[in-house]
Amino acid sequence: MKAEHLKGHLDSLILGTLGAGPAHGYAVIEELKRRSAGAFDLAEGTVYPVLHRLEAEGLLASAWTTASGRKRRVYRLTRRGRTALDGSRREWQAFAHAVEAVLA
Amino acid sequence: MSYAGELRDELARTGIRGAHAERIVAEFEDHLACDPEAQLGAPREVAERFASELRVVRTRRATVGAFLALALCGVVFLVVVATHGRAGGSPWSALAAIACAQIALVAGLLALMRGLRARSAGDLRVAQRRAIVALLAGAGVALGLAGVGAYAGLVALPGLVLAARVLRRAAAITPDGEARGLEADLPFPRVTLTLLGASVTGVVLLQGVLGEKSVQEGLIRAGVEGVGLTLGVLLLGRPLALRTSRAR
Repeated sequence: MKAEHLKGHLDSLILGTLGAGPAHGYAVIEELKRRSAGAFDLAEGTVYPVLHRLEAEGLLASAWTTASGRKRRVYRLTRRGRTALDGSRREWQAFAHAVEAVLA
Repeated sequence: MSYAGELRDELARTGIRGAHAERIVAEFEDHLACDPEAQLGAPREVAERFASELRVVRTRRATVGAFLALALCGVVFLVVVATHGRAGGSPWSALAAIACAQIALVAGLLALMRGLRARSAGDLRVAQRRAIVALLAGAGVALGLAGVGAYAGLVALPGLVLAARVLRRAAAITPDGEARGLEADLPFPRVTLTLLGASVTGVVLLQGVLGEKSVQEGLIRAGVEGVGLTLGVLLLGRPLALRTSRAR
């Protein structure tokens, strides 16, 4: 999938991935890849800055855990993040229906 | 040098240092431990992407924080004016407090207006510069009040210092850029500025005439206010980006 198709949707995709439960950066990227059947194979370095911004905006919260003796930062949705995700879902469904109605 | 070391250096170059930089490096190390073949991107590009993602939200937070700190300063100023009366102290301190209060109000509002809408580096720089002017003026208010013996004014200082620290973090990751002038914030900026200045001068005139029951006193105060406003626009026109310029 072309990178420009993802432009403007990355925030929603990350929120959607974390909607299933807390995860660290690597797991978020892998889950995006898995759920999109490989279509969203993002440049890995692009996801972390977005995670940090979403946290700064109050949509995500994060905390350190330890995994195999390593420090690991795990992200989860905040209440505001869940509200934003619900809004994104509604917007996307309306948009997708409209596009489908025109293209079908 | 290792990837982590290069990333740390590049983060420092873009202004991301300390605990935040260490957190980013630790996250990338964890990622590489999960997948040693991962292509995380060149450290310079990664660092610039972090700065680019964070500068808007940090500037927004900094300008809102500055405005809140100034609001507290304003409340203190009004309480002191209402309760302190004409107690002693240097008249220059009183004049400085009054002038700084006006600068803080205008600069703080302009910083908020630009800070909430800015996306480009230049516009973010303008918002930050306006917030710096506002915070310095706020400190001028607090010190001016202390100069007339109203030491309660100093309670506003910690909030101003805290806001300045948040602002510094935002400024550290924002490069220079082409910035727009006052036309980006207000419709008909020259007319608006002139009307605002005339209104303030008129209020001062009325306050002098009615408060002191002296037309002469009113005219003197209005004259001082008018000269002060003109000087303010001339001296602070550049830092407040009242005209289009390259923000530094």
